[in-house]
Amino acid sequence: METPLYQGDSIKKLLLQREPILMVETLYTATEDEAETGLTVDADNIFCVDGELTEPGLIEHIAQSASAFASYKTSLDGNNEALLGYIGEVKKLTITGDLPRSGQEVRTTVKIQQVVGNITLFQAQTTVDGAPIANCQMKLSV
Amino acid sequence: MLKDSYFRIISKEAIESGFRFEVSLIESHPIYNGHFPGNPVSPGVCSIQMIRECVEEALNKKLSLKSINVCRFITLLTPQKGVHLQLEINLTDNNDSVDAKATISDDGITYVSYKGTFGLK
Repeated sequence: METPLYQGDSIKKLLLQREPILMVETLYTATEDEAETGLTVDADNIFCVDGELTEPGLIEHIAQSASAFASYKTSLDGNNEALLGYIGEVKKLTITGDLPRSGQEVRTTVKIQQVVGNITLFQAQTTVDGAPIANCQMKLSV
Repeated sequence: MLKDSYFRIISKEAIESGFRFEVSLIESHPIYNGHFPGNPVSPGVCSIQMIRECVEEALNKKLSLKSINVCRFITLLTPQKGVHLQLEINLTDNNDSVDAKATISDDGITYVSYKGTFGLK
């Protein structure tokens, strides 16, 4: 049984996004350069159509996963304010599987590739029940 | 998903190899309650969805988002700035998919540049 680092309401300590566009529910694990997050798809999600989380919702989930990870890392240095993260670039995004449906949990691994000033380059992979459904590179400015 | 709630199409015209739309963002959309409280910023992914919906409108077909080669968010977009945006799309038809190159701009300021492939549903 995993004990998440942050889950539910406490994830708001790592993100400035709020309902209806709060797209990470759980920070499961984090190392120096890699983190895993989760989001259980709710049919009421603003990016859901007919119970299916659409691609922009997945991309936003990936971006907020990276943003939450960036905030988590600074929290270890004693900074308790969530960072404001913006997507600078999405590159080489491929949707490789079926879109997740309401009730399914999406898991995303974000891995830091490079940091230049306030811009971080991440590689991300998203899975549902262990099967890959999306991957991309993303530049996030914080 | 977003047409007529997040953005409005003001005009649409066919251009060489594609379409040009004029669109306007709608400031009252609930997404700004959370992105971000007291600091409305148009989410980049909503610009991606807006491009998809304009391509769907242009082709009169439903599309899936298969891949994005690159999408750059060059200038921060807000609903206040987005009252009169130009969305220009170049399309290449590959039978079961469509390659799209798009820009969202206004008066010489480019907000988004996009290159990706949509699948026909």
